[in-house]
Amino acid sequence: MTKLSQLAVSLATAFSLLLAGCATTTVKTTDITPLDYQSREVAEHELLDIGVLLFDPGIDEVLADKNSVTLPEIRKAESRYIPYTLTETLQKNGSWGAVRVIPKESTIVDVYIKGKILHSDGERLKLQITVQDAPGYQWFTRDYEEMASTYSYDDKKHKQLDPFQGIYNRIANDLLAYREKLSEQKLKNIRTVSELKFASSFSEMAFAEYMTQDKSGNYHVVRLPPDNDPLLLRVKSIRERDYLFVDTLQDYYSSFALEMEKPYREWRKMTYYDVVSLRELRREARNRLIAGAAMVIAGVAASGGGDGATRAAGHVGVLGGAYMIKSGLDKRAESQIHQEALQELGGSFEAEVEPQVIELEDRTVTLTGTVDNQYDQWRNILYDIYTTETGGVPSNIQ
Amino acid sequence: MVNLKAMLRVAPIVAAVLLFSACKTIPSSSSSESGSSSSSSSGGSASSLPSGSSSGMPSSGGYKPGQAGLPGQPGRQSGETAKKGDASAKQNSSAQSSGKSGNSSGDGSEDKTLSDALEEFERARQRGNAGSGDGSSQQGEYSVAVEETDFPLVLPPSGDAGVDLERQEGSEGGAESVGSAQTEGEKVAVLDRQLEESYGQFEGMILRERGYVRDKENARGSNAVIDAGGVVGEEQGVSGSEGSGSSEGGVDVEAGGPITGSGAGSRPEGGDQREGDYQQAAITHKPPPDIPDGSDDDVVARQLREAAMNESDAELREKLWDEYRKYKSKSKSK
Repeated sequence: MTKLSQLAVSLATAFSLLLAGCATTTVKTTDITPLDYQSREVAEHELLDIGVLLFDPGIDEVLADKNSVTLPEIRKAESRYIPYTLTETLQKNGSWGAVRVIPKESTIVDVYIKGKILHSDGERLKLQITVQDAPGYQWFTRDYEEMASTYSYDDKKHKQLDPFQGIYNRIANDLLAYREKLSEQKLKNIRTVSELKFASSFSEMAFAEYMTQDKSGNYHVVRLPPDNDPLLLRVKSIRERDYLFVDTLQDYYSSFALEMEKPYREWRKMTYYDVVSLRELRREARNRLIAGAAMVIAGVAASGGGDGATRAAGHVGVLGGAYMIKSGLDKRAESQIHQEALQELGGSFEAEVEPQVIELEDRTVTLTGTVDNQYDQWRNILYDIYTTETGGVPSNIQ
Repeated sequence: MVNLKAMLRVAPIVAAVLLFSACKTIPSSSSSESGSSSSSSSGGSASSLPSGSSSGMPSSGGYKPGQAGLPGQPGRQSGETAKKGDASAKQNSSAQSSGKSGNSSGDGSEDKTLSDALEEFERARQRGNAGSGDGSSQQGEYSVAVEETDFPLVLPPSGDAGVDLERQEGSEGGAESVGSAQTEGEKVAVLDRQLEESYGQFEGMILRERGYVRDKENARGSNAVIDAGGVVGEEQGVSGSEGSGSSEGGVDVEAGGPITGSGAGSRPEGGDQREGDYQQAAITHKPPPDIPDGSDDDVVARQLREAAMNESDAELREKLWDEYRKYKSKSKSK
C-alpha cells in the first residue's frame, strides 16, 4: 500500500509538472498560396461577369459568443471590406469579365458569390463561400480558413498585402478551376440566361417566352430573340446604364475600403498579439488548474500513508497543488486583462468605422432607391412601346 | 292688341340677335378648314346643321365633315384633324371643363345673349297669352319658329377625334388607316425620345455621384499628407511643409484637418496605396499614340479610357487599351 501510494504520488507529481510545463508549438509560415492564372487566353464571349454579394456578417454568433474579440459593427464593416478585397483579387488574374460588389441579388450578373464570415480577428479568418451561376446551378460551397503569422503584419515585408491574402487567392483559384471545366457552350448559355433574365426583368411580356424554369428553379433557354429586335436593343442600352450604376457602387465600396484599410490593419495587428497571448494564457491557466488539482488529490491520498516519508510527500504534493491552482487562477485573471484590452481595441475601432459604415449604407441605399425608381419608369416606357408596337393602348403619351 | 304690342316689343330684340349671330357665322365658315383644336367639338355640331343655315353656328372655326378639306386632300386633313384632336384632347377637356356646350368662350357669350332674348320673348308671349286667348295660333307659329331655329349641338368634351372620324365618309377610310399607322410610329418615337432623355438624366446623376467620390478621395489624400507631417510621397507628388501644400487634385490642404488612421505613428505615409485598379492619387499613364483624343467618347469608352490611364500594371493597361480599340471600332461600324 505504501509503495503504491508512493508510486501514485510520484506519478501525479510528474504528470502535473509535465502538464504545467507543456508548451505548444505553433507553426508560423510566411507562404501565401499563389494566385493561379488562366492557362490560355480567354475569348471575350467566354468572359463571365461576377457579382460578389455583401457577406453575411454572422452577428448572431458574435453576440452569442461571450469570448468573442470582435463587435457587431466591426463585422458589418468587414462584410463590405472582405468582398471588395475578393473582387480585387479576382480582377488580378484576368480570367473574368467585370467583377463587382453588388448589394443585392436582384442585380443580374453571370456568376454570384455569396459569403458568410464565420470567424475574423487578427490571427484567424474563416469564411463560408457559395458560388452560383445565372441559370441557378450551384458551383460549390466551401469553408476557407487562414491563419496569419506575425510576418503578415511586418510592414517592411508585407506592406501592400492583406494579412489573409492567401484565403482570397485560394477562393479565386477554386473559381478558376471550376470555370475551366465548363465547356464553351455552357459559358455561352450562362451569359445568354443572364441577358434574358435582365431583359425579362424590364419587359416580361416580351422576353419571358424565351426561357423556362424547371422544378429546381434553374433557367433553360428555349429560343433566342433576334439580334436586331428593337426592344432587345433598348434593353441592352438599359443594361449599359445598369453597368454604370454597379460601377458607381464599386466606387463607393472602394472608397470605403481605402478609408477603412489603415485602422483595420492596425486593429488586426493589435488583436493578433492579444489573441495569441489570450489563447496562451487560457491554455496555461487550464493546464495549471488541472495539474494543481491532480497534485492536491495525490497529496491527500499520500498523506494518509503509513510511513513518514509518504506522509511528507503527500504534504508537499498538497502544497504544490495548491500553488499550481493559485498560479492557474492568476493566469486566468491575466487572460481576462487581455480580453478586456481586446474589447477596448474593438470598441475604439468600432467607433472609428461605424460612421463610415453608416455613410456607405446611406449613400448606397439612396442611390439604389433612385435607380430603382428610374428602372420602374423605364419598365413603364418599355411596356408602352411593346403594347403600341404589338397593339393596345399605351398608358400615357406626353 | 296686347299680344301684338308684346310681340312688337320683343321682335326687334330677337331680330337683332339673329342678325348678329348670322354676321358672326359668315367669317367663321371661311376658316373652318383650319381645323383648330378648340372647336373640334363644335365642328361635330356643324354636321347637324342644315346647309346654309347660319343660326346657331359656332362662332369660331371648326372641323366640318361636309367640308372635308382642301380639294384633293381630304384624307390628309382628316388625319391631321384627328391627330390634332388626339393631341389636344386634354387641352379641350380643360377648356371645356366649365360644363358649357363645348364652344369657345366667345361662342358662350353669344349663346347667352340669344337664350336671354328667347327667354324674354317667351315671357312676353306668355304675358300676351294671359291677356288674350287668341295667341295659340301665333304661339304655334313662334314655337315652330323656335323649333326650327338651330342651336349648337352640345357634344362631350373628349373623344372628339373619334366622333369626328366616325362621321367621315367611306371614301376617307383608307386614308384613316394610314393616319393611325403614322400615329403609332409617332407614339413609339415619342416614347423613344422619353427614354433617351431619361438616359441623359440617369448618366448625369451617375456622374454626380462619381464626382462626389472623387472629391472625397482628393480630400482624403490631402489629409494623409497632414498626417505624415508633410512628408512627400512619391506617388502623390506633393511637396510642402506641415499644414500646407496641396494635393494633385487641386484641393487645398486644411491645417488641423481630421487625422485618419490610428496608431500610424510617424511612419512616412506618402500614399499608402492598395494594389488594384483604384489608386488614391490618380497616376495617369499617357495613352498609346494610335489612341484618339477621346472627344467623341461615349460613357463606356470614357470609362475604358480612364481605367486604362489609371492602371499601373502594364499588361492590364495594354489589355484595357485593346478593349477600348475594339469598342471604338464597333461603335464606328454601327
